[in-house]
Amino acid sequence: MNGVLRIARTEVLEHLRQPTMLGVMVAYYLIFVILFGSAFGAFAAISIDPISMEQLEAQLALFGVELDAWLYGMVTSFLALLFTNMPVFVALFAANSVIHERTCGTMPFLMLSPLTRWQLLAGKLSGAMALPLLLHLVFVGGATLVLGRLEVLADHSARMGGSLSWWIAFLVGGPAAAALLGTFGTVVSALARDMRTSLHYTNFFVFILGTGSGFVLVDGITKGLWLQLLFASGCLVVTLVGLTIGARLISRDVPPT
Amino acid sequence: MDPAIQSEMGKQHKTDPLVTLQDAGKAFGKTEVLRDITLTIARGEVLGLVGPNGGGKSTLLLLMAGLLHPTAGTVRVCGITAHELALTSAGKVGLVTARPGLYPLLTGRENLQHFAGLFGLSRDEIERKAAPLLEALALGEGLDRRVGTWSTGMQQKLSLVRALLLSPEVLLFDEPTANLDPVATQTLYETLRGRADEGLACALVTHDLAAAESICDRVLLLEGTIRRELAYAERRTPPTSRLLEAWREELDGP
Repeated sequence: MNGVLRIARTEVLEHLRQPTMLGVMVAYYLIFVILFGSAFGAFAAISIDPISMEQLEAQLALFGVELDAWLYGMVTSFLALLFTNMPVFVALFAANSVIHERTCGTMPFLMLSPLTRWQLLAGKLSGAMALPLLLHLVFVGGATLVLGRLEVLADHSARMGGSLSWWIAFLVGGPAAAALLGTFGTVVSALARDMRTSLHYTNFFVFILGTGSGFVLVDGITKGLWLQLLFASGCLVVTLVGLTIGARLISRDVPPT
Repeated sequence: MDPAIQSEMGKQHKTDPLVTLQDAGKAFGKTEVLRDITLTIARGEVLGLVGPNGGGKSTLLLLMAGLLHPTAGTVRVCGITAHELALTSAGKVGLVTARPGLYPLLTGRENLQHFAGLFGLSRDEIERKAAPLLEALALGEGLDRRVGTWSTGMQQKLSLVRALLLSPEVLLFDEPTANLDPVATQTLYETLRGRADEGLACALVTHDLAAAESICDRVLLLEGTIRRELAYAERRTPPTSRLLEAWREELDGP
C-alpha cells in the first residue's frame, strides 16, 4: 500500500507543478456550468412571465419540440456533460502515466524497488484520479445542487441532487466509471512505446466510453438505485481485472535506453 | 523476502564473487545481443566493460541488475539469480545510468524521498543516510530546487546518492559520465573506486579507455561476446592532469 500511495503522491505532485491540464479541466467545468447555468437562469426569469413562456413554447413548436421535452433534454445534457468530464480527464492523465516514467528514465529504478507491477499501475491510476475527482466533487456537486434548487427544475429534482440514486451516481458511479477509463489509459500507457502511441490508443476509446458512461449514469438515475449500484460495481470489477491483466502484460524486462 | 532466498543469500561467503555469469546470453526477438558471457566480479573489484556502440555493454549491465532476463545461461548476484534479487528488491544492487532517471519537476530532496521511500525508509532515515553522501558530493545546496533546473552533473551526482543510499553490495555504472564536466567525472570515478575499495563489487560501462584502465581491476572488451580480457594488477587512481587541477582550483574553489 505504501508503494501505491507513494506513486500516486508523486504523480499528483507532478501534475500540480505543471498545472496546464488542471487549468484546462477547470475551464471545461466552468464553461459547462456557465452555459447551462445561464440557460436555466434565463428560463427561470422567463417562466414568471406567461407571455414570454407562450412565445418560447411557440418557438420550440416550430422545431416540433415540447417545452417539457426540451427541459428534460437540457437537464440530461447538462448532467451527462458534467459526468463525462471526470472519466475523460482521468483517461487522459492515465495515458501519460507509466510512459512518463520511461521518458524520464526512472523506470529501471522503480523496477529495482519493491514495487510490484500491480502497485505501479494502481498508484498511477490513483494519481491520475486524484485531481479530476476533486474537481468532480466541487463542480458537479456544487453546480448540480445549486441549480437543482431552481423552481423551474422542480420536476427534475430527483436528477438534480434530490435523490439517493443521484448521490450514488455522483459519489460512486462517476468515480467508478473514471477508474475504468483510467485503467485503460494506464495499461495502454504501460504497453506503449512512446507518448504519441499511448495518446492515439487512449483517444480511440476515451470519448466513446467517456460520453457513454456519462449518459448511462444520468439516464440510470431515474431507473433506480440498484441499476446505479450494478453499474458502479461492474466498473470497479472491470477496473480490478484490467489492472491485474495489465500488470501481467507488462514485462519486467526494462530494455536498454 | 522469500525465506529460501534469504537463506541462500546468507550462505554467500565473503570471498565468493558477488556477481557470476555462466554462459549467459540475451536476445531481443531474433536479434542476439549477447552470447557465451562467463565472468565474475568479486568484492572490492571494479570490472570495466568497453566496446563499440551496440556491443551489448548496457544489456550486460541490465542483466546483472536483474532488469533483463537472460535468454541463455545464468546470472547470479549475491548467491541468487539476478532476476530473483530484483524481484525481492533487497536493495543489494545500486544502478547509475547515463540518464540520471529523476523527476525533473520534483526537488532533489523529493526525488530521494520518493525512491528511498519505496524501500520503506522513513523520511528521517533518508535524511540521515543521505546527509554524508550529499556532503561528500557537494550537493547540499540546491537540494530543495527542482531537479529540472540542475546541471547534468548535479543530477548525475544525485543519481549516485540514490544508488548508494540503500548500502548496496553491487554497484553498476552505465556510462555515468556522459555529458559531465571533467571535475564531476573525476568525482564519480573517485567515488566508484572508493566504494570498491570498501568491499563493493562494481561494474563500469564506459567509452573512456584511459579511465577504464586507471580505475578498473579488469577490463572486458565486449562485442556481442567477450573478445578480450585485460587485467591490471597495480592499484591506480583516476587519471588527473594539470589542466584538471587548474579547473578545480579556479572553477570549483579550493
